[in-house]
Amino acid sequence: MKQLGRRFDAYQSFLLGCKSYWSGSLYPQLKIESGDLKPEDIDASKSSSVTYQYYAFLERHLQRMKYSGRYGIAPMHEPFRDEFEEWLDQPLPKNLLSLDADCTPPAYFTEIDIHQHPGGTCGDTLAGVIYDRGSRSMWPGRSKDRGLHGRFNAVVKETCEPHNILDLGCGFGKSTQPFTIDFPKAQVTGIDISVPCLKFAAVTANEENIQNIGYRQSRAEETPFPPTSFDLVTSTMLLHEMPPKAIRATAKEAFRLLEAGGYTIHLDYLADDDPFNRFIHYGHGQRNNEPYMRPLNEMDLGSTLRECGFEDIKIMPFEEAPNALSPANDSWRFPWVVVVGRKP
Amino acid sequence: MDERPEQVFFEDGALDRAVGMIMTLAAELYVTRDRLTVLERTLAAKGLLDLAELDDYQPDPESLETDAADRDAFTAALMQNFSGKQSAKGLT
Repeated sequence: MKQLGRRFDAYQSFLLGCKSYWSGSLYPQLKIESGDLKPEDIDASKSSSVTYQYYAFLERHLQRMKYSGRYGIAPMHEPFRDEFEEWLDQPLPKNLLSLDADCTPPAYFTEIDIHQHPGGTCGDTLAGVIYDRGSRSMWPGRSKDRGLHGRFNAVVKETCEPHNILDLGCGFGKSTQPFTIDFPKAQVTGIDISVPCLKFAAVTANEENIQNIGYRQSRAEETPFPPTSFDLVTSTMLLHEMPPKAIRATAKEAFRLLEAGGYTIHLDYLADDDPFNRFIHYGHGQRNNEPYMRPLNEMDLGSTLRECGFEDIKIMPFEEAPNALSPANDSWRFPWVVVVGRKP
Repeated sequence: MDERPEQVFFEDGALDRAVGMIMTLAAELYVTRDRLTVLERTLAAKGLLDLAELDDYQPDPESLETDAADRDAFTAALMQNFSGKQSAKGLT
């Protein structure tokens, strides 16, 4: 990975230190002081809790600084723009990457810059490079590293042994590549709407000489594949970026794409019924520019899958890192869940 | 609708912007501190700097005077803000 200079490293390290304090100290303090806050109290400027005002401010602005601050990820890539663009446009083996000029990103994905990533994840030729860099430093617990995907794949393995995997909303390939390692006999296909992310994913796979992988530009709601093409249709951190209508269409499409006995398995976030947990989670969605976090939480995902024809539906808590679900862990964390459905 | 609305977290939005400045300055301070550490290590590794000498440094009388004048100018510019005093004649 290209180094962006000592200033970048020091600045991002500073932000990570602040974020560690935020998740490990400020969040538990807020819970003790103001554990009765609920979703209706999200507007921090109207809250009498000064701790919450700072908690909310820091959640918003540490993320802003990370992407757009003086030594933020976006500006620090600019001096190397030509070099990155040349790297992304290198020739690739046939069938590794298939782009579709007619595939336009849906408005729900382009109207808002998710994660406060300027231009969003498909608005700039370097969006995939920047997204990848952002994912490496986001959370102090390193919960978004390779370990997370390995742990998810272990849950998948307990459910099925897939041979033909479709990874919806694969982004820059962070969830897709681990499938090729944990299921070496499977053919893995990743689809996404973002060309810059898909290029990053394909170039990286080529550099690592991964044979059983292919990327294709497509929406999750409507794919170009024939019926019963896959035995696992999966997604990682996709559903909460989609409005409920798109989630319903995606579930229907997954059912069409699966062969009988195949599984749809999604890794995402659903806060439990505790009002404080929902208050924290919905507030995070608002401050991180993720408007569909709350609608996903408020829709009945189990019923949606059932209406599409899925059976044996399970929604289970997911432990993203060792001891993350332990009562002793009082740090902030995402409310991870695994959602499973089987096509009869 | 503003495409990039400001989210306000404090009762007075002025505080949001002021804390934003504090965080920006703190980050810049950290980057500078890091730079200084790297500079010290690099110079020490090349034998150009004895870190103990840096810690034990005692200025000569002439340097003391220069440093004091620099400190006074810096603190005056900083602290003047608390006095509310203005340099230019003007409107209230």
